[in-house]
Amino acid sequence: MFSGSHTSCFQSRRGAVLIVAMLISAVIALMLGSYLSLNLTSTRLAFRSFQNHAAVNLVEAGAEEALWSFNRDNQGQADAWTGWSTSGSEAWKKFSGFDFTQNTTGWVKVYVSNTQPSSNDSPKIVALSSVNPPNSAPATRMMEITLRRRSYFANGLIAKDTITFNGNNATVDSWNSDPDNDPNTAPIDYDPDPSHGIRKDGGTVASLSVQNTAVLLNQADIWGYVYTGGAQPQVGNQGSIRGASTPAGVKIDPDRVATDFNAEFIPITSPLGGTTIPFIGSVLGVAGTTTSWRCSSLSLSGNSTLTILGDVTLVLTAPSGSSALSMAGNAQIIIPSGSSLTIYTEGDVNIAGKGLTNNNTQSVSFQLWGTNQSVAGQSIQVAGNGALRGIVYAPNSNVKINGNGDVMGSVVANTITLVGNAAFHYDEALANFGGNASFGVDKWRELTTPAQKATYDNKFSGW
Amino acid sequence: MTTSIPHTKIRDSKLARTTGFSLVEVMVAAGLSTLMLTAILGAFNFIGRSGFRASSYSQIEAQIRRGLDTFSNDARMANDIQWNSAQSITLSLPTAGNGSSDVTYAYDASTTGATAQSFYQMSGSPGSGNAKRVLIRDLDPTFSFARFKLEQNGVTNNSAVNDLETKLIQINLKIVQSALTAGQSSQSSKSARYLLRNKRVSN
Repeated sequence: MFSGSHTSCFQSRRGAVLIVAMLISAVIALMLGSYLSLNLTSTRLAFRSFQNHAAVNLVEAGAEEALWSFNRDNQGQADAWTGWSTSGSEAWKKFSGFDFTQNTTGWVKVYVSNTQPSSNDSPKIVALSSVNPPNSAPATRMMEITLRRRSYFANGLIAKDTITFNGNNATVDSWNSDPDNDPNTAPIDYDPDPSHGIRKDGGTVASLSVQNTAVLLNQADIWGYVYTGGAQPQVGNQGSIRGASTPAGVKIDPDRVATDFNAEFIPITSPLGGTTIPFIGSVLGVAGTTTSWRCSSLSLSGNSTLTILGDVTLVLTAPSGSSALSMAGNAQIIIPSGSSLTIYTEGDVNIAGKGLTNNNTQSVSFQLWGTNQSVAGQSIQVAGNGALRGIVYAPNSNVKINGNGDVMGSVVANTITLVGNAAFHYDEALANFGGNASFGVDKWRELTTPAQKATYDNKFSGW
Repeated sequence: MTTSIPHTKIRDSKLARTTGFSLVEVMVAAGLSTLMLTAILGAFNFIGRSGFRASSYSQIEAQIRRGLDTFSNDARMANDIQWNSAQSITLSLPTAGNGSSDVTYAYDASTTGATAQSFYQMSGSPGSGNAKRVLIRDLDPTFSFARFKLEQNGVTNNSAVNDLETKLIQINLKIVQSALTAGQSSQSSKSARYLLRNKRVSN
């Protein structure tokens, strides 16, 4: 009896301890479970975030492949679209086999709207990527990229080295001769009257140089922007850098000066074709016709004139260091309305005398392409009679523009010097003057909503 | 010789053992119980605080990820930026066609209101008065945006000084969450530098 009562008492106590221990264990297990759940959620979020970023990188890689094909095609490479499925001008390709470790794979499908764009077309690239983890839903991204051809003349005055304004009243501003980017509509001429709303504050002066002499504005007034490779532009007491949004009284608007300018100056070569002629008379070309000519040099003096008829391309073959084009006395080159002149040369150019008389509204009617790639470079001097309209691309030349009147167009050179009180007007339409230039990204747009994605759903289904 | 123990003595001894504990026994037991309970309570308190903090950090992490993800989507697409202050920017986003729409991202430094001490998104310019969507709460006033230009050869400091040359944008933030018994949980974050892909800079 005694011993039975003693055992029961101990059993009762052991049971209580067991219950308490189980309760404590349950609480600890609950907490550990919460921890594990929390960690699992955090890990899943981290993985999801990683997969989403990987999908962005993948979709951009796919678009980059299409852009590469566009520019290969633009260079005339026959294999540019090899491996792509095509139908008319459309193309498709799937890039797969991307390994993100931990059994996560990825693919990207790319659709191209127009593989044979003309100079004014803006083809689209649409890419859809998918990163597929083993035990959860794939992370997908869709992106639409609109392309356009790059322009050599995206800014007004561009130099690898220095840009110097020597005049006391030189000015720079801009206008757009072709705001609708349609060559079939009549171009708009520059108009300084502010009430007409044609003059704009987009006159850009840019130098790649990091030296503090990169842009010497002196007393010039810039109605636009100044870019350098690192140094601040030097502005005289009477000079200014302003725009429409600049507060009154501010001479140098800090929001209109950037020190991040970087550009690639691509060398140009002369075209190979053209009829070789021993000398150039008083008329060159045929009205309403596109013609190409080759001549060693052109020299005009006295009262001699050269009239251009039709769209004329002239290659002056004089070698580097020699005179390719020289004018003196009252000599002048006349480009009547409806005609154009494009000159390629690596020799020196001196358009003086009465200079160049261009009766067209758009600056592209006179183009001077400097092909010199020698260490010494080439010298280009241009003087205008009245308004000087033209574009100059000569990345290895020292360009000097003389004149007290209007200078309209764009200049790309090694150094640029504006002598006199020229009023330089950058034609913003030149930013669309791509010709056969390479393609770049004009607009990058991620398609996030179902409605946006639905536009291209049929392009990505079934393959 | 035999010794006999009287029956009554055995009964008395049994009674004495079952009638209760001595004072010393009770005090020892109470002391041990107190120590044990204190240890258990301490452990529970520690585990509770740790649990709260872990939960806070997880919540902070999720908030930051979601907020930065929303911001990065718009920043990547922006074709222009307006620097309102170090705690407020307005991005222009391209829409279908040639249009664009503005969206403002900012930190509300006030201590009262629905967006107090939060990083929020609002369509339109800062003064548009449109509804604000809170992305990240409980932010320290040190919240700031940083802007950068494209990297150039030979240039070590590529901080941008104006909107014109701004090509990348970054967010620096610190979340501080506090509870009465569990103290503070804080986490500082510096986002990636988001490239404003559609924004043209001088080059």
